[in-house]
Amino acid sequence: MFSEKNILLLQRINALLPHVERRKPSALLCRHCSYVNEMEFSFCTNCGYPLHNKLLEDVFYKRIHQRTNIRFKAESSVMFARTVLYVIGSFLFMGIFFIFAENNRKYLIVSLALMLSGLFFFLAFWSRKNPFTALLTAFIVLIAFSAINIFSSFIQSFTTLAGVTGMLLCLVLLFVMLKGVQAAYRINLINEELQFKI
Amino acid sequence: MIAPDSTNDIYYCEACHHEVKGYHRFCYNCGEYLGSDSTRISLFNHSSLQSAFSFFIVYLFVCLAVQFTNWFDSYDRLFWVEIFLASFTLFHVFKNYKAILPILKFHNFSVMRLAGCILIATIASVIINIIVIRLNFSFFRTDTSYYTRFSIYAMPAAVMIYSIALNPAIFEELAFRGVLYHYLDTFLNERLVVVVTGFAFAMMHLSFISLFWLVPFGIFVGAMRKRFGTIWYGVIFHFTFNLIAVLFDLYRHGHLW
Repeated sequence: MFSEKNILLLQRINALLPHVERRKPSALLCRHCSYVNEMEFSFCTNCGYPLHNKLLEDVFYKRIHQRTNIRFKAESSVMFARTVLYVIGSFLFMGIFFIFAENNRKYLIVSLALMLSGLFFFLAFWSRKNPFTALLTAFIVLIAFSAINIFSSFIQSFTTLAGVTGMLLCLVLLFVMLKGVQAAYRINLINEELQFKI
Repeated sequence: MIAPDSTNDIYYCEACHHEVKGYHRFCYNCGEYLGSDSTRISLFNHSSLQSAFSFFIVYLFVCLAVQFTNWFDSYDRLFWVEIFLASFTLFHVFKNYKAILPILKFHNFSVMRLAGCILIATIASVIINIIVIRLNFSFFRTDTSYYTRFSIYAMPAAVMIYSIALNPAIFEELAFRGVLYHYLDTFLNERLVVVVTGFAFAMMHLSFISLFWLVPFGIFVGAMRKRFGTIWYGVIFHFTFNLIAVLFDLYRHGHLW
């Protein structure tokens, strides 16, 4: 034990030492993504995870779950649009049988059908890698083809059964494609939101 | 969601109105995502995509009206359609003046590049014109001529060059590689923009058979726009391509000399 004299001596020595200031830590690591945040922040600026209040963790996971669900639904719309593109491509491919027709323009029809079939197959394949761009291109192609189909025989489009059926089919295809483009766009946004920088 | 204050480059969280930094992905105060609200945002409230669609649809319907109605059979009326499309394009150019201005300057000018551009356009145009004439003759037993439509005017060759070569070269390039390219570039990867504008350009011509060469044409001109950062190489390429088609037509009908 220190004697009273030594204690007084230690106190005098301590008084001569520079004053040590206890500082708060200036940064805080996010427990979810390890991103460095300022101490005053309530939420991580990289992933949105609550930094102080553990009660809010539940809200964070619910939000991620909600976004994942939306993405899942959007993916099924994209898949449907992709399937429609495959169906259109396959349908056009059947134009190859025109080769057996007795028509002066049969080679032109066959090559056009095969070219358009190839185009739709290409767009369907592309939509696996780049769904938004591929479906947007498919929408542009379909809207132009539908417009050509309706306007080239404008009166027949509205007055004959084949014309009205064709027009309805065009509208359905355009609607499916538009839903696909919308869904692909949403997937891009959700991926952007959920992609944390680690 | 994020609302930038353009005067001071300060950003605010739209949910809690706290000041945030530009590089923050989430608001530090309320945890809201600062990018775009994916649960609410839709294709229909994306301003650039809306503008791109409306721009393309107007072009498409004007072209449909020209191709499938007999309202514009004479060039007297078609001239006003050209004026309308040119004004419509210029309106969009002025609307996006700051973004489009840099591509209106002729950067990196090179005589060799220009000569290459003209040479490729000439070769491509000759090959395609020969194929199209043969296809028209073999399959449709027709021989389409531009000249008949313009023969009633004082200087038919000059009017043809203006209407078929000069006007489309300038305004289609400005429309597709300027305005539409800019609208799509705000939310798409630039390489994909080249492809999408190429398809949109091809579709606007409303011909199934022409897709064979119009899609590669559109993508090639878009690629030049991307590589050189200007539309002028595309304009020259387009002009040369169409000019060769006009000269071909005049030559076949014995009006070149």
